[in-house]
Amino acid sequence: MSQALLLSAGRRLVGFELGQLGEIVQDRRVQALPMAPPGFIGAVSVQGEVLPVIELATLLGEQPTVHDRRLVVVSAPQLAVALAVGAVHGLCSLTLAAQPLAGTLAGNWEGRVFPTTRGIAVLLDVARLRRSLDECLAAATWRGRA
Amino acid sequence: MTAASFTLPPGYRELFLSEAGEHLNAMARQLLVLEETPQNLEELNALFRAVHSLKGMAATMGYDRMAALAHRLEDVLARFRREGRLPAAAIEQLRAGQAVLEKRLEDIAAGRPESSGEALDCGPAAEPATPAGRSLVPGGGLYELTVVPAESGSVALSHWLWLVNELMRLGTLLSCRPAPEELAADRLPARLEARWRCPLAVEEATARLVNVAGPLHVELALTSPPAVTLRPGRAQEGNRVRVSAALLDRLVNLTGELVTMRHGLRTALGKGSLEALTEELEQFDGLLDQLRQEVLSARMVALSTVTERLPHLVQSLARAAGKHIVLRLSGTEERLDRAILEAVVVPLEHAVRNAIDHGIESSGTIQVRAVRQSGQLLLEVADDGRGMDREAIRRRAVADGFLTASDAARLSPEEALMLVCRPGFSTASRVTASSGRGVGMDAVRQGVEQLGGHLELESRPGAGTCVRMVLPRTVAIAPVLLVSCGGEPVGFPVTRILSTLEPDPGQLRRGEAGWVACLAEEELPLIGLHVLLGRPADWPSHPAVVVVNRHGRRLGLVVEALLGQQDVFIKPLRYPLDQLPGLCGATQLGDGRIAFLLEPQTLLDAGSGTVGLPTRER
Repeated sequence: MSQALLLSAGRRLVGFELGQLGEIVQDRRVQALPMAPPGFIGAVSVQGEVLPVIELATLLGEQPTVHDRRLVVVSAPQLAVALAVGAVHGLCSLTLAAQPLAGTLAGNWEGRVFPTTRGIAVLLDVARLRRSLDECLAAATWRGRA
Repeated sequence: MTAASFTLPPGYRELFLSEAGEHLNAMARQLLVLEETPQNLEELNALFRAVHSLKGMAATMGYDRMAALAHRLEDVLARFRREGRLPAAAIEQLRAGQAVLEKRLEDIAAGRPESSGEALDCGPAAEPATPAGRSLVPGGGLYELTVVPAESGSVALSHWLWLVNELMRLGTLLSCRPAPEELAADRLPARLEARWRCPLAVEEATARLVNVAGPLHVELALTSPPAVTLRPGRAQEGNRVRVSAALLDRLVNLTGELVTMRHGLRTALGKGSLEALTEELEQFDGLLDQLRQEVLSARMVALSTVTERLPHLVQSLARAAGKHIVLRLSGTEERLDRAILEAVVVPLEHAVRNAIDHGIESSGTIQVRAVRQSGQLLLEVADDGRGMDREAIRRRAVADGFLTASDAARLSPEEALMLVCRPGFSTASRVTASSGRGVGMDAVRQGVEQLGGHLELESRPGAGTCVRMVLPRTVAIAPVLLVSCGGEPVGFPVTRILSTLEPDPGQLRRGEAGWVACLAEEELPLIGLHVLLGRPADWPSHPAVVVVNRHGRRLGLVVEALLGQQDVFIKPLRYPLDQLPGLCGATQLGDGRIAFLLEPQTLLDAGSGTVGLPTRER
C-alpha cells in the first residue's frame, strides 16, 4: 500500500507520493531569487544544493494562503524544488487506487484523485509539476523581452 | 565469446572505453597525416601500434568482433609497412575500418551487441562499408536546418506544423527553435532552426522535406556524419579524468598533514592559547589552499582531447564543400577544467564549421590557437577567408528590423560586427557573399557565455575572421565580485566585469535616456541592478557601479555597495533555476547566505524591456 504526503495549497488538498519527495525542511532562510517569475518566491540551500522555493498554490492557479513554516523538498532526477504550501497535514495511505478525475474538472494538473479524511485530494507527481513549471517559465514576462 | 563470459571488474571496462577512444582518435589523426605523406614511416608505425593496441585490448575484454576487425586492419598495415608506403585506396579502407571500430565502441559503451561491418570483416580486399551512391548515411547524419517563408509575409501555422511533423517522422529532432510545443500553442514563427538526425542522405532528405514544405523555404546542411563527430564525452566516459600517481601521492600527503593539523588545533584549543590557535589556523589556511590547487589541477584536461579530431572534421567538411583547407593547431597542450572542456566542443565545432562554410571561399587556412592569458584561456578560430563587411552587416540588421538606421549608425565597428551573434540574424545564404556569415554564431556566443566566458570577433573584408572565445580555465572555484543589491548579495564572475567605480554624487546626471555617470573620458549609461532583478529598492544615495559590456557597449550597473572580490565555490544550477536568464551559478557565503552569480549580457538582454534598452530581437 503506497503512501502520500497530504498538503494544502490554496483551497485544495493535494497528495505527493512519498517516493518523489526528498525531505521536509523547517525555518530555512528563503532568499530573494533574481529574475523570478510568478510562483518562484525565493531560494534555499538544502544539503548544499541551491533550490528554488515554489509557491504550490500559484502553480495550481489558486490564491496563496499563509505558508506553513515547513518546505516540502521534491527531489527527482529531472526536478529538485522546495514547495511552499499552506499546510503539511501528514501521511495518508492510498487505500484505494487513485481514480482519474472526470470531465471538465481535469485540468493540466490533475489526473487522479483519492479520498482522505479531510476530503478529496489530488494526487500530484513530478512530471505534472515539471509541466506546470515549464508553462510558468514560458509565460514569464522576461521571455517576451529577451 | 562475448564480454559477458569475463568477470573483469567494471573499472576495466571504463578504462577500455576511454583508452580505445583515444586510440581511435589517434588513428583518425594518423590517417590524415599519411594521406598527405604516404611514405611517412614514423606515422605508419604509430598507426600500426594504435591498431595493435586496440586489437589486444579488445581481445582481452572479449570484444571479439572489434578485435577481429582490428586484426584485419593490422594485416593491411603490415603489408604496406613492408612496401614502405600507404596507397590512397588503403587509406580509404583503413578509414572505413576506423569508422566501423568507432561504431562498435559506441555499441559497447551503450551495452549493445557490437554492430556488424561484414564487408570489412571479410578481408582487406573487400568493398568499403559505405559504397558511393547509397542513399542512407550509416547511423544517421546530423543536419542543420533553417526554414523561412519562401516569400515575405507570414505562412499559416499548419505548414510549419506539417514540416515539423515530417522532421519528427523521418528522424530525430535534437533541437528545434521554436520548440514544437510552442508551435502547437499557436505561436507563429518567422523562422525555424533545428538540428536533426536522419538516416537519409542529404538529397533524399531535402526532397522529402520540400515535398511537404509548401510556401516554406528549407535549407538543409549535413553537418557531421557520425564518423566525424567530435566525441569528448567518450574520452571522459562516466565523467572521469585520469589522475597521475604523483598527484594522488600529493593528495594523500596533504590529507595526512590535515589530520596532523587537527590534533594541533585541538591541543591549542585545549590550552586556550589564542596565539597557538592563530598560528595553527594560518597553517591550516595554507594547507587548504594547497589542497584546493591540487584538487583543481586533477580536474584539468588538455585541450588536445577535443582538438585532436578537428583535422578529420575539417577534412571531411572541406571535401564535402569542394574546398582545400589546411588546419593548423597550436597551444592545444593548454589544460582546462573538464567541465569547460566538454562544454566548449559545440561552440568550437560551430566556429570551425562557419570558417569552412562561410569564411574560406575555395582554399585557405584555419588556425585553431589556444593561449593562456592571466587565468583565462583564449581559444581562437581564425581563417584567412573573405572576412566580414561591417557596413553590409549594419545594412542587413536594419533591413531585418534588428535596430533602426540611426542606432546602427551609432554602433562602433566592434558592435557592428557582434550583430552577427544575434539570434535569427540572417545567414550567408541571404546576405551577399562578401558580407554574409553568422550561421550558428549566436550558439557560439551563448555557449561561451554559459561557461562564464565571452566572445570577441575580429574581421575585415578580404582579411579573414578571428572568433576568439575567452574562457575561464576552471569553473569549480572562480574569482567573483560580490555586490549588495536590494539588501541581498549577488556576484559577478570577474571575467565579466570591465571595471568598478564609486562615483561622486556630482558626477551623476539624469539625462534624456536615464542616468549617466559623467566621467573624464565618457558618459557612462547607468542602470539600477535592482530594477533588472525586480528587487524592491531605491536608487542608492551613494551608488557603486559595476561596468560591464553589452554587445560591445559599456554600461554601468548601479549597486548599493561593492562587497569585495572572493574566490568562491560555484554551484551549478539545475532545472528550473537554469532557465532563469542572467543566472550562471550560485555560491554559499561564509554566513550561509546564497549569492547568485549573474551573467551581465544575458541579464541585460532579458531585462532590456524593463530598463528601456534596445531589445535584442525584433
